[in-house]
Amino acid sequence: MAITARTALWIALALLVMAVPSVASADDGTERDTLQERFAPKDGRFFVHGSATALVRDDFYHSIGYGGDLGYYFNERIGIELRVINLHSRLAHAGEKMREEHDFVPDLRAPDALATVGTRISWGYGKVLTLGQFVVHFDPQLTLHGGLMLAERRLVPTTTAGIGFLTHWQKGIQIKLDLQASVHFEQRTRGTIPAVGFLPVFSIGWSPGAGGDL
Amino acid sequence: MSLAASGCVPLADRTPARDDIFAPLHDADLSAFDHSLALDSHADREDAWTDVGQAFLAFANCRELERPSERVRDNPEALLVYELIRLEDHRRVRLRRGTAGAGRGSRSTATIHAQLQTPSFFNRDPADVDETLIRWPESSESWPDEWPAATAVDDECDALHRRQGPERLGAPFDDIAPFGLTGRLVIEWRFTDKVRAAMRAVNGDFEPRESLEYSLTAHRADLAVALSEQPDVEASAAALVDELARGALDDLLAIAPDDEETNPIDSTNLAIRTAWLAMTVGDPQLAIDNLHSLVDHDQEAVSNTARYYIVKIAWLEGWWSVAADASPELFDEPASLRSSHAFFASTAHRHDGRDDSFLGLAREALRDRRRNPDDPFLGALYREVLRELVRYEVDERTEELLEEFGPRGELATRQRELAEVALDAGRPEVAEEIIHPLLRETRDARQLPRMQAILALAAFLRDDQNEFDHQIEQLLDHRDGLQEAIPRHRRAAFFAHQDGELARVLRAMLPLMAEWGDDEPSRALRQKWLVAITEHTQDFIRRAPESAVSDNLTELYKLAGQLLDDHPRGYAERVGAEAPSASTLVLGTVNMPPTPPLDEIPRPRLRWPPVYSLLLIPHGAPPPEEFTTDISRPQEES
Repeated sequence: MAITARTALWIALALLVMAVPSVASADDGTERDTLQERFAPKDGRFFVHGSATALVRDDFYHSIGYGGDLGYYFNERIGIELRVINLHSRLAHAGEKMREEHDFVPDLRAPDALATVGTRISWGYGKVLTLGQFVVHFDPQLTLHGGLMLAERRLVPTTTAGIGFLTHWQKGIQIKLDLQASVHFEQRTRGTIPAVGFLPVFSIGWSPGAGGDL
Repeated sequence: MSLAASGCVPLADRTPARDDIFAPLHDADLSAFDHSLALDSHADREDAWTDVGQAFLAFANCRELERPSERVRDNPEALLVYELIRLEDHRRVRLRRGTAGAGRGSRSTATIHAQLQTPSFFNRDPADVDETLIRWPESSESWPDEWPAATAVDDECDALHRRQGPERLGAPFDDIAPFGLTGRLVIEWRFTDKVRAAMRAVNGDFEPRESLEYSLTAHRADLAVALSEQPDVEASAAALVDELARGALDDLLAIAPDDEETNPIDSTNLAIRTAWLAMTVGDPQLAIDNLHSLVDHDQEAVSNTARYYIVKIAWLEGWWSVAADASPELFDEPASLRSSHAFFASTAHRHDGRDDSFLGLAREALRDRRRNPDDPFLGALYREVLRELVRYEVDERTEELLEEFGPRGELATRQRELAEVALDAGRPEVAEEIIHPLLRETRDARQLPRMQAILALAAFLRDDQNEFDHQIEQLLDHRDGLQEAIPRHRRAAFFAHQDGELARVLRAMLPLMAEWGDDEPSRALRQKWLVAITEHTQDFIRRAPESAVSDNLTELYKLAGQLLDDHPRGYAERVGAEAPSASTLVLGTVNMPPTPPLDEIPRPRLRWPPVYSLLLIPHGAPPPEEFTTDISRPQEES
């Protein structure tokens, strides 16, 4: 079943609602700011993630892929990231039918790979209590990338932007989910027309030295 | 378990471990101190020391302190520290309220409150939070992996003067307002009782127990002194205040002054307190003993004040040699004590038989100075000098001495005063020896009546009626020569001086005669002089009826006439007198020693610094390992 852009948007909203911290215990009633140590500091640390993704566009293609992210955080707020994704694209059922019955093919080429460089901005910190005993610490992030997409020997300028949820686990493990909109500037029959898509990226990786106790 | 092993983060308490919760207080970092207490509260690890910490925090912020909680009352050491905070809190209010309008804490400059109330002393702002830490907004609930953040701590000391207290003090101080100075002293005294009880409850020793005992004893002495000086203590409470003062004195005497290592009250201040309390409870010997240790004090004002008190106390007790020994010389500062000290010191030498040193000191006090007529001490000293001089024959030495007891231009006045004192001392021949040369030398006619009056009285005392008559005639001669030239309505004023002298002589004679006894020769002698008085009085009234003293002398004439055996002259009747009590009763002369009025004797306050601190500030993880009495900011040390 194809994931449409609208469906992906609902998923993103649901994740946002989940990110609202729930109350776990009561204090003595004295109201004052509270402090908490970051579970996993990012300041000055590299990370490497393996990723799975899907590029969702109205282009008659199913594109899923895998790849990796390599990045570095200058501080707790800002980091840079290199993302390389290998995409496997095939015509969807409607596109296949059009090609067989009318010998029409989409003027968008099937995406084969994506390479972008961008920034990740942590604009907050959150935590979620799960099962009443485990806490998931996460950074809500904004992402902005730019790069090239390879589509059947064409190089297509591409930019992606969206929100991300970087969760921290023990032993330096990081799991993140990026929900990005993508814009591709590809030469089509009517000229260079932007093609908009949705690019969710699910990553699991590791950041050296991250994690640890207070 | 498998989730945890795989990287899940279990929900756990991340509150920092408990350390020395009082350490920030020693660094004068109130925000951090408040933070450490909040951590205790958050982690549900509060104990008696947390309550003590809260009390310190309230004290530093001038908030009203609560009564000790049950867990504090169950912990003797914590209770002692707590009660000390309350005691210092009350002391601070008293010191501050005692200086309304005189600036913040101006009377507490020598106490720990001076620095505690300096607005910049405490750091009240939270330190910057480490950037790696997450700061969550305040909420009534929080997660176990969060802990309270440090916050700014407000200073509420500007409202200290509005602090309320109990409505009544209780017997026997019912009539004293608890908000007045006396009331606050009573409250403070009661807190010292609480502290003493708490100290007794602490088992074993603690540092610095001895130092605290010294400070507390000295403070109770200060309170006792202050209470005994309050004018609004009713009679019912005065006995108790006196009892408190005696108790405080006994405690003070039990302090070992030589133990300077553990005694924060130095021996000088101890001696001042002891001396003052001894004076308060009326122990002159103890007061003098302690005042002697202050005579060599570095500050001249303290040293001289101590000398003054030694002399004054010994003088009033009649310990002449003690007073004389303590005053080999006079002093100029403080000026308020100069004349009174000169009087006590000089006269003590005289009473002790040290005539030379008496005259030497008196000369030093009076030499070349114009005496203030309102100064009772120099006046009394001067009269004492004259009384001393008339003991001897008049010679050149007398004049030389007299020259030294005041400005040279007023020597004649002093000579005349010496003659009058000689008359008072029953030495008319000395008075005549002084006045005769003076009478020959003087060119001032205004001085003559006084001199002639003195000579007339001297003649009376020598029972020389011829000379007496002669001097009276001399006195009236001036009037005869001028009377016709002066209009009648101006005569009273013109002759007021010499008429007054005549009246003075005649008036002075009656009481002197009353002392002559009641034997026959005395009665005869008295009759002789009564006749002289009546004749001279009658003669004067006839010659000068318009005189200002005529009424006065008419009364004298009637009185003398009544005393005459033959009761002559038609004026003796008292018929019509408004009241029998109006009759004059002549008993004799009263010789008043030259003592200045007791209520004018200066009682300068010997000042001494109050006890610096009565606090015990815990140090080390609860329970504390030691206590200190002060807070010093690290930056001040550097």
